[in-house]
Amino acid sequence: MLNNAILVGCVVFWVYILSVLKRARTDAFYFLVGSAGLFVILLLWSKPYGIWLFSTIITWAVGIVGHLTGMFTTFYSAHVIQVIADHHASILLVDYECSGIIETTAFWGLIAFYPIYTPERRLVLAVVGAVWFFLANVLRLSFVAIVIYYFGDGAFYIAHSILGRLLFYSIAILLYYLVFTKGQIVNSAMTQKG
Amino acid sequence: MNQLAYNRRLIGLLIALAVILIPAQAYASQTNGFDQIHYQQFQIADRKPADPNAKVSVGISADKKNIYAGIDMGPWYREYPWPMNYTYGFNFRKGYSLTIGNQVINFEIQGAVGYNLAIQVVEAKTGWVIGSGTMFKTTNDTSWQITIPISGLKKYIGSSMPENTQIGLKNASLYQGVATMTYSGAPTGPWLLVGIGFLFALGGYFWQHRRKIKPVTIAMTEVSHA
Repeated sequence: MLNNAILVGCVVFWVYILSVLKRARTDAFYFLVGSAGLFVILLLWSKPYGIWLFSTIITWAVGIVGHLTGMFTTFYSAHVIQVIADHHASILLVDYECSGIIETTAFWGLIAFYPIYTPERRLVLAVVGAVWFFLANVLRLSFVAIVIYYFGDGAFYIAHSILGRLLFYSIAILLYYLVFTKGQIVNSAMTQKG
Repeated sequence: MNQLAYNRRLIGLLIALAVILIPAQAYASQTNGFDQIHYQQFQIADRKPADPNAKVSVGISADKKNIYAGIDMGPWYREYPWPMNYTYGFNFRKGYSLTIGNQVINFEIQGAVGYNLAIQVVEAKTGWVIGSGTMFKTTNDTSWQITIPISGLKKYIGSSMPENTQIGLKNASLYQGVATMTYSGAPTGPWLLVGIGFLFALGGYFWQHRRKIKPVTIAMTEVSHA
């Protein structure tokens, strides 16, 4: 209850600051405060249901890969990916920092106030970004699980901390590059598609 | 789509999401953690005379909240003093060790022996109850499943399970070897990526802003030449 009250207070204060910055026509500060504020609010608001939702969907989707390959199983309601290799069980727990919710909410915060796009296009890009991070995360977790299946627990560090992250970062940075750096290309592509 | 309609749709979407999410999470929290246990077979410890077909299957698993363990032993055909707690002179409810990283928690099972009866997991040293479970006993087989909440192991592992931890369950008097599993999270390294995202967005913002200003400067230059 107290947390919710603090959250509502923060939202009211944030909206007031945004209105001041808008009236003062300080576009850069409006973008910065808007993006950072929305990101923090979404993160606070996402506990516990948003985190649960992201973790559940990610684990469920990784389970499809596990089912197709037969290399690992998932328990989506417990957010567990289980790899059995040589009768040894390895449990990968999909929690707050693994679910992709932080990256997704940060992207939503940025795109919501990015002035290059119209509000409708921001909404479309927010959905595209969420799907992009989701697929990247499914790919990363599946890759880590498959490596553990073939090479055992000893390969976990390399698979997760180095190769898996490189893969995920590359896909995420490609999205940032396309949306934020090549905004005019995205804009013209969206214009062509109507 | 005007701003009002856009806001209404967004609010409607959020309310619909909340209506679906809250009962769905309540349902998910009721699911059984024992479903994820993978059992390993072990040789019975040196007890004579052992039934030739008897074996001990042990499995452990975990999620964010609990450690789950299960043992299935038997079939016992001879010298089994039904319904006592002993198998070949050994009390199968004693002598368990749960290893989490470097920490060892010795425990035993307390409670009546029978089919589908509640049992308690008691720390051997202090007598504190650290978990609970169920005993399943048929004529020739004995099995139990226990749940140990991670929150109850604070004095051993702190407030949460360490990342990339080996968890093991052994009972040297009952079976040879240790049932093990590895418990790890797989964070994406989100905060660095958030930082990179902010840098890209800021860079893109100022670059676009500069491009917007540039033509005005050129136009003014052209006017002065004219």
